Amino acid sequence: MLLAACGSDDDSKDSSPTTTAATGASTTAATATTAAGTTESSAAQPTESSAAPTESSAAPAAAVKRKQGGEMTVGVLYDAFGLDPVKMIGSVTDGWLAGAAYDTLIRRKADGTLEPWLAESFDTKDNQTWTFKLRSGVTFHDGTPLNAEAVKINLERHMDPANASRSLATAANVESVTAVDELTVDVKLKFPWAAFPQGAISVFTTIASPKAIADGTLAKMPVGTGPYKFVEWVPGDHMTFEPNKDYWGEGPYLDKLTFRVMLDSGVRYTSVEKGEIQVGQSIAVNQLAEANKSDKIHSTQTHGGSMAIFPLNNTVPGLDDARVRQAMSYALDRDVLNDVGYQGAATPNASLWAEGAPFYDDSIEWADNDMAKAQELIKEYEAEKGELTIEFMCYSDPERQKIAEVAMSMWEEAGLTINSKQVQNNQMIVDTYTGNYQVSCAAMGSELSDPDAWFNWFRTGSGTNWAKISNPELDDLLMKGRISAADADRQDAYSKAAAILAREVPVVRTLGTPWGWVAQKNVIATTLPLADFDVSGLAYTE
Amino acid sequence: MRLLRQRFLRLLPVLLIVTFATFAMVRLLPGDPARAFLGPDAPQEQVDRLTQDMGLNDNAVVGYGKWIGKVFTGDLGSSYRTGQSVADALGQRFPVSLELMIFAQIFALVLAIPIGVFTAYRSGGVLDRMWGASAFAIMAVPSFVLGLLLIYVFPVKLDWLQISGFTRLTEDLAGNLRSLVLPGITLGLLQVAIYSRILRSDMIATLQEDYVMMARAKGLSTSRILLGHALRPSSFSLLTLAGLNIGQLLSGAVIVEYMFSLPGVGLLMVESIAAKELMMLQGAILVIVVGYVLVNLLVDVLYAVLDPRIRQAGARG
Repeated sequence: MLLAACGSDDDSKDSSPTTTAATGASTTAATATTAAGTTESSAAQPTESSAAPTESSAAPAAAVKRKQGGEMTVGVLYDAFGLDPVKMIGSVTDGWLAGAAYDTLIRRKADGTLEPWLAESFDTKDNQTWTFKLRSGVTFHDGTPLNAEAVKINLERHMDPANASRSLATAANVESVTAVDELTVDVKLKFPWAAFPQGAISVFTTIASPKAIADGTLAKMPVGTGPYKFVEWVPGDHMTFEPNKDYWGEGPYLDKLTFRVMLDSGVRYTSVEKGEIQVGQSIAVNQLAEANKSDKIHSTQTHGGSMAIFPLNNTVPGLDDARVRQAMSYALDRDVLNDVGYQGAATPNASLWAEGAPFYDDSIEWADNDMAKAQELIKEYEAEKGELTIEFMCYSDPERQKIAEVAMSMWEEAGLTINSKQVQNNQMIVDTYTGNYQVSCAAMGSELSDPDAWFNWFRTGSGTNWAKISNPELDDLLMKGRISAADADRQDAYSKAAAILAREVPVVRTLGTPWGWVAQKNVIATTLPLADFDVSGLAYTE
Repeated sequence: MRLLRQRFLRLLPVLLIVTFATFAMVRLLPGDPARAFLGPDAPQEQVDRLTQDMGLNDNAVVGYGKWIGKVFTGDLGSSYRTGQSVADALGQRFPVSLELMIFAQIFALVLAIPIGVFTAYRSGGVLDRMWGASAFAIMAVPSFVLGLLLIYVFPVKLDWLQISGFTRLTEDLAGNLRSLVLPGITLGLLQVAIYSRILRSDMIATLQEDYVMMARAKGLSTSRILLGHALRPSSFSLLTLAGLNIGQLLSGAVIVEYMFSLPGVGLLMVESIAAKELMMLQGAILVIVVGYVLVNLLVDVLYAVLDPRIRQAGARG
């Protein structure tokens, strides 16, 4: 299931490919696609890691010894979209591949908190200027030293609109980048932003060699500071890496790491079972449970993955009335959607955040499962304004379609008339961004993210404000939440913002879709939140 | 020879017309290639500039002229996403499809010819009727179902062969064959059914001819009659079909390529459509069209080889 749409910031994860390419689970359009990933804005804070008992997370991993040596093949869902950080869309596949060759300045730990990674430390006095101290003695794969100037070049690349970086939305908040000394970089933002580190993780702070940038060879050959060095890329087939012997951190453990493009989830799963590959990315939910019963393989599943939503174009007649939007949320029985789409493995949730998210306020009530209420609201609306017909656009991924069909029948039961329109995934993403739709299907961020993420999703004028909601009170609250330093102020702002969102229902939230991968029992693979992957620690057990 | 020359001269206009038609149609695909590449957040001026660079502002005729001009110099353009030249990409992916197609065809013919001959000879018998039913059953099964079944039976249950991936011929011959077996059978099984039925019906007709009765009267052995005298005249439909199928199998094996993770031309075209890589798509179509036309030419020549009547007509005409 590919959750479409990308958000503004760097962290993007897609659940499943659907995009591109034709056939297969996804529609033709789906698999092939390189484009389309879902982006998460802001890191999730404590993201609960997994349900899989055999998953090796930080603590147990310390007890299990990693073997030095061995070759491993990872089956990935898509091919990379290009390995130049400026071109990377931050999808899961990008993340895994990039994690081999590149490092980011900051990284999330398994428990969801942030740790300095390529940077030795990061700090701020006023939430507006962030100082990163880099590790010393680190070199890129081509021998160029890592220094403040290199980081500056990389960040400024994202900021330059001519490069059309996919991280432009984050980069646009940066006022200037200064190399204070050899190993210190000051990033000055346009305004104080307490959650900047969460937003800055991943693609935005992926650091590539300035020499490779200058040579213009990055797109074909990534050169970073990462645990593995790029060897070859056969587009559409595989990408191979060899170990970076001078890696500054722990690892690399493998003698050869290959990422193979295997479009079909079932084939990935079977291949891991048979041992043809050792790790399979993005496995369908119903197969993950099976994996844990097997004695040859294990799986991991993270919740707090992407939020599946139906964006509503708030500017379209009918959908501009809050009653209609609320009704659409009340009409949905999310447990049924969960059963139909994910065999009960997802988390039904009507709200845009959940227990575990920073500043979570459980006193806010969100419109959920009340068909009578939905029908009442629609009747009220239609008495005033007449019958309403709405166009629903979704891409033809089988799982999505199943959920979409059930949702449509629920909306019709509420009294609306729905016309369905199937489009190709790429087209749907573009249409959703440009507002050329009425109701769409997509995914956004994580329910466990810092609500600072709402800044990009719901503020007037934001590029990722698909719902086109424009509520001045909400705008002020989101700005206040972003720039305030004191937690109490941020809590106040976000509680009030949540109340507005619950009332206005700019998008209808349905489920939290789980992520998963499978691996052979003798593979140690640490899952980081939001389905990220610790490539440097990837190894076999002793 | 004259025949060949005639046919060859007709090749060029056909190629030009077909490639122009596909060029124009590809332009009509929904979606904006520049925006697909730059992403939804990119500023409009950026998108406009790239659209200009991609040559999408020219009308179809001008665009085609520019493209075909470059083709003659060997420049098929390159992928925006990976920077790889289209020629390189095709060079990597075409052999995969080619090998798969050859394997499937050989598999199909090796099975279909004996079955077709036998069921024609013993038409109406038990085996013929059993095969008739089986053939229809095979034709009814979609290729991905068959593929999944084969994956389940062979690599998973019996531990033979591999599930997916493609080993290049240049790397390892045995590995290459191994990676082709399952996909080749998936593709080829359907053709076995079709080819055998076609051969059977033509052969039944041939076996009723006078000269066959004459050969039998002369005392020739059954196998001599079947293979030496009756097979050749009965093979024209089969030949035509197999020839047409070459093009079809090359570009239409997408589902099999997808399932078995074979980086072939069919998948390439589908990916290019989705990613709006028009240059890549054009290049792939060009190669397939050229292939198709050449194969048709070959089939025509083979007709002449197989059927002396055509050879003589050519000589006279």
